[in-house]
Amino acid sequence: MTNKVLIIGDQFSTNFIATVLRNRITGLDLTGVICAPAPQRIEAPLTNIDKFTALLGIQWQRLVSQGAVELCLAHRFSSAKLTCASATDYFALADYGAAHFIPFEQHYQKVRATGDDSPFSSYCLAASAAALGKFQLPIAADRQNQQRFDASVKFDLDALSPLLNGACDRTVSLIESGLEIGATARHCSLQGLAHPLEFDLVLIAEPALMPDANHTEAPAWIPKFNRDSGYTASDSIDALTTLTAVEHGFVKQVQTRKQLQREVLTLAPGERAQLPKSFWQRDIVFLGAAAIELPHLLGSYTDQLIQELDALLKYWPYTAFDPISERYNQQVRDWYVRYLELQYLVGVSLSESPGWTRNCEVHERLQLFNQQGYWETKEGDILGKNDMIHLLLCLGNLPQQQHPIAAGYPLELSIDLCKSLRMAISQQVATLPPTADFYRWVERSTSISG
Amino acid sequence: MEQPGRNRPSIVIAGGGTAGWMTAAAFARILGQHFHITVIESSQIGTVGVGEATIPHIRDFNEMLGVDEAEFVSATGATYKLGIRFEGWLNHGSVYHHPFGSYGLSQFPVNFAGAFAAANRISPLALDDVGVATQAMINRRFARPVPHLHDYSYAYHLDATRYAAFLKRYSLARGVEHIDAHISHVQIDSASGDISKLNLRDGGSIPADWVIDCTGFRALLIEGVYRSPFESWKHYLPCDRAVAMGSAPSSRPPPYTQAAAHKAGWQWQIPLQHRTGNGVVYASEFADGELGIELLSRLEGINTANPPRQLSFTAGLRRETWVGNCVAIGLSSGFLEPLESTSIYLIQLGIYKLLELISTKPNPHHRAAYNRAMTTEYEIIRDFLILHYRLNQRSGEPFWDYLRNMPIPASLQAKISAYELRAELPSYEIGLFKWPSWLAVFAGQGCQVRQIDPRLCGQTSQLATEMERLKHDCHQAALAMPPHHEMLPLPAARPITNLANHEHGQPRP
Repeated sequence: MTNKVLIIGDQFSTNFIATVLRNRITGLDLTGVICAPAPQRIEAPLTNIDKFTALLGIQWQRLVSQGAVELCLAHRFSSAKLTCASATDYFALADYGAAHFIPFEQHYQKVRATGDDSPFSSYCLAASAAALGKFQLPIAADRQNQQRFDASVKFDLDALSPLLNGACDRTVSLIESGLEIGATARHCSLQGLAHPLEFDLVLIAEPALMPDANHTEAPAWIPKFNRDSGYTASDSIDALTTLTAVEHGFVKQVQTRKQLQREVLTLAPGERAQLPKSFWQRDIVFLGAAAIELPHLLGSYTDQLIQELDALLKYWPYTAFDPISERYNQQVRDWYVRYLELQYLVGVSLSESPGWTRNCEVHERLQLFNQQGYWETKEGDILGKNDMIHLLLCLGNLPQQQHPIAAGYPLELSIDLCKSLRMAISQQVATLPPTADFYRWVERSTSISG
Repeated sequence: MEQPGRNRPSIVIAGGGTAGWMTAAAFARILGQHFHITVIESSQIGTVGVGEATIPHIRDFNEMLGVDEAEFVSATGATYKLGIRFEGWLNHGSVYHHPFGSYGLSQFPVNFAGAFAAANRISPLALDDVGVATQAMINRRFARPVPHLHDYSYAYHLDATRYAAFLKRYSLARGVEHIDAHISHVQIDSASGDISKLNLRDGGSIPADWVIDCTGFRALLIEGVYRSPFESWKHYLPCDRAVAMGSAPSSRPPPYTQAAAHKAGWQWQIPLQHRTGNGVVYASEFADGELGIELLSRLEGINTANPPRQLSFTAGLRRETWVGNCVAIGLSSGFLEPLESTSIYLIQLGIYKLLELISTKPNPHHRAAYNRAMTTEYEIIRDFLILHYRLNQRSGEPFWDYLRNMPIPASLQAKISAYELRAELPSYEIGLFKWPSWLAVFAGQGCQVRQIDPRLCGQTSQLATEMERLKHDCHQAALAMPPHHEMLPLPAARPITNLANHEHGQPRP
């Protein structure tokens, strides 16, 4: 079995990878090469909080009480393309609407056609709560008469990284010799260690180490963005991320209780993104930004790492040259295609920019949805069908035609249903505590329990 | 008999039978307020009546219709079904089961198939031992699964002709118009290319916004009018003939369909309350019709007074089952042999997909999406069926030798390679047959796993102990169920059927 693993990346990536491997596979010998400190960045992965904490083997209560992570309930989209009154809508990985023999989104569609410009989030408890700065802990899907209320995390890499220290058996800051990317990397001399070490597998999360020969040009529909980010002190407590469409791209904001990150993503038309030819090459696996540098309109760099680690755990090798690596490459490649499709759908829905290439399969799926609300699922889609319909409606995609069943349903009943649901959600949100109270409660309960 | 203009758009279903009446019933239930639904069916034309054996999805269909299970079981002579028993598929004397359920309940650090393969290296164990449903099948027990406790499901063996009649009554009670007539020809709208009217032999005509072709193998509209090409898969699935006969019912019917391999195909046995359905499927390239008669005549209780029913078919599908405003549902859309009881499921799927995509007028984008979805499903089922044949070890029999060595679809080869490498099972979300089904056939057909997940290397004896515990638990859970026959309506309550004169004279595959 592959036991001796070398991990190369910045402090956060190295520690994150080591923590997941340590938590899920026994008997590993992990060596970390920290190329750089944890970057200044706030991450808001789409990955559900349960999966995130299970991978790390740390309870979310501990992460929250130590100020390492905060909870995220919804994503706010703002764009002139959104036709709801506020030009803003909120998407949560949560249920929406109410049980009815006609799917709720079709009632929404009918009611919108009458001139009612309430945003779709007004029919989703989680999104409505997040929009008003209210909070509730996640609720499982099978509770009757209650919309599912899910959560993900957001965190400053600086804050989470120290909690993940110690997963490596040894860490160094420099490789002195022996690491030759493109050949094999089995023997390395590391700074401060007297003897070269031999490794079974090398995991690289440092983009500079990806050889040019392993790059290939991405299809034209995959957008390339230039990224510029800035940080200021945080001015509020929320459970959101925010994406605003601007003239040539997007402004994405995420804040923790300490600071606010503002990223400007400018579409670079004509420039092509790069994809790796293989993610696992001989005894080296390229992870995260070393594999692909992506625009994250929804989700984050950590989603990449999580997905790749998931696949690596599934295909953990006997030796680095195991034929199982082909299965890994296929699975990770498929995931990236679907993830990039999700970014495309967010981008093209919110932005009128002519920089988007619309001659692609995912755009055909979007057009199909825009006709009569049918979302054609594909194998490996990042979001399930209901979540996808939810997202597309929050992004302002309003189908032009109604399903015959919905079209024949009395309009006044659809209006009543939507109105009463909006009222019920609004009343329920009013009873929820502010997000700040949640953090006070976690801190208090942690200090009481010692 | 020109139909008067109607306010509602019209759906005309050409053909009755299982496909026609399932479509009519579902549309009446869901679309009845918004469409006028007509079934044109000729009492002069017999039906093939696909599928007496079903898979659990039929329960969703009945539930959608609001059908009472007891009423349905009684009306269709149904028995309960927990899966399929395969005899002689690996080699002579081999037996395995494909249950409607999962295996094991414990958490392992890797997937169950990997854990099972690892444990098997220490202590050989049959997969059938670690499934509650398989143990119930073996012991002829049946109980409805308890939600959140049991991880299995169930279906029915039913009399397809009675099911069609049951759904016909249901549909007529919900406003479906029934016309007993022959369709002589159709009128095509020159602008759209859609079928605008169906002309009847008696001189009448029926206007149509939508036409559903449920005319079975004849494919009167999808083939006869639109010439939608049929893609043959005979090179993968060479069985192209079936011979069917009924026999006396069993007093202790098993809760499974039996599929026993023979030298040029396989033989089914389907227990109903009022009879047992029997049939022999074979490849005409490797055997003649005498084989089927001979195999059937050996069965206990067979009624040789009736001539056996002969069926001829070709495995394959139309990649365009929706053309213009015509959608083919059932045998007119494609055919896959009934080895995994998928015929009724494919009808149901066509109905569901159409219900999702239907609009007042046909839409070319919806049509393309429908055709893609149906093709995906057909291909997944095709691959799964081929797998049963491909992994045989019946050396020296030309039919089986051919199947073991023939080229197979790349999509199936990838699945086999992934399993052989490290017990990795298909994990798609769209399509029939999830990982337990694939594992049942991979393991049952003796497919060997080369690598054990390295993380299990130090834990194989612990895994073997865990599997033994599972085996015990599954066996106990099955024995706690009542015998299957006790769950059926009492014989006195069953409709009396004269075997020599049952509906349409013959059983159905």
